[in-house]
Amino acid sequence: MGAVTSLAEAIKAEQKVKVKWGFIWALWCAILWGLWYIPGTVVWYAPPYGEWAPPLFPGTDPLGEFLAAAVVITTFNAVWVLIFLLVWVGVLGKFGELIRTLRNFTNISKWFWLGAICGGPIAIFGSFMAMGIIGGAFAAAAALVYPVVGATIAKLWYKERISPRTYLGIVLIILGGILIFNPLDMIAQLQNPAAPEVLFLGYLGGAMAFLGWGIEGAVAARALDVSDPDIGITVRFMGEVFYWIIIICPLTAALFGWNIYPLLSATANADAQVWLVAAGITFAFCYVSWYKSFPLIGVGRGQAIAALYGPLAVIFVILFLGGVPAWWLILGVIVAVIGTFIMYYWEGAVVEETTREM
Amino acid sequence: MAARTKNPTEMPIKCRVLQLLDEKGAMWDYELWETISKEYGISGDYWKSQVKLLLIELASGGLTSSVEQKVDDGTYFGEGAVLYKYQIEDFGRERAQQVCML
Repeated sequence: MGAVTSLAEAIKAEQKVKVKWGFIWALWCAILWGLWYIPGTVVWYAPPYGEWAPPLFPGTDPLGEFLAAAVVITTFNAVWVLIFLLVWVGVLGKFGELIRTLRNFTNISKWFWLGAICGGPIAIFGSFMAMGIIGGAFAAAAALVYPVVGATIAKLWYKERISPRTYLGIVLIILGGILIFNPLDMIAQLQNPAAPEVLFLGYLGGAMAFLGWGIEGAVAARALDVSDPDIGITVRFMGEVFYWIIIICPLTAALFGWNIYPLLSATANADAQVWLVAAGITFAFCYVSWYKSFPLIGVGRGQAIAALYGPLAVIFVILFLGGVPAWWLILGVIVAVIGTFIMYYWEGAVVEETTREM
Repeated sequence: MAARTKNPTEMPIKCRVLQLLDEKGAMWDYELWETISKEYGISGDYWKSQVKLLLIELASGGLTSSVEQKVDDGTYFGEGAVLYKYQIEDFGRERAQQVCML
């Protein structure tokens, strides 16, 4: 770069670097998000969970045991994500900003904590339920429907205008969702007398994944607008860890008599923790990369590229766990990702200007 | 916006940037850096680039917009870097009121 670089050249050069890094971050997010489903599924085969056959604890309530297991796994996932995020914030030297953001709890952090209710106990919990009963590929595919929920809320709550292109994207995503959930097969599976009693929780979990994440995005967006993204995610996971450890674990143990505490200590073994640590690290840095891509290439493109996590998760499941998912699931994933690209990718074409087209 | 009685550096940096832009009108990114770095006690290239990125984030979120650009001759962020003059947008004011409680 010479001293006499023209303004137009300098903007172009800067723009190129921005877009390149934006795509790198978004792609990282997709890869890590897709990878998360591998440890998230495998942990269900680690002790103590892997030693169970339905009914999980003979003589006890299989529903309660399964839900307790999902609570414990999601709690550990949240704790590990938070640990990695705190390390990340420390490395970046942003503890000061973390404290400032927390101090303004009633106006800023409360939005992240509200979002965390939808993201944690609904979406992540539901994803683990789906991974535990039906499998990683289904759990990943089901969550692809979340942009439909986000767009519906944007329309109803923020009164955003929805363009015809967005409607086309929504229709395709819903179509993909129908293929992924395949109601005909679902009903047949549920009516199969040999099916485990908890099977319906797997499908319910898939629905919770897309509902929860769709709402979380809409709720957390307003606080994220005025926060450092690295800090925003960390505050959000502080909220989630609080919900699990202080509220949900004791409450479900007391009210429903679930074996939360015996399970927590039984899960504190090296075999299970290796997978939970892997889940924590992939999830933590998938969120970090996601938010880093937004300002560089725009929320729309960031989300569209991140949706590639769906097909990547299916590929990772085939590679690492073996077994090819049903054709309708694969087709559904493809249709939903095309829908997401139509919905988001061409939004805010002038990336260097405002990327929000809302 | 009503003036805040609280110490400005108790706010997250982005809220403070929005407050500055609201009170003082459009500002160049290097002017914002000067104020922010003094108030928050940060210095060095790393924090400089962090603050520049944070300003880019505010603009890409539609909270601010760039009204003027020029090429850095090496005085501020590095030779050849693009300098931006930012102004607060209505959406930025709205968010600052709702979330930063300005």
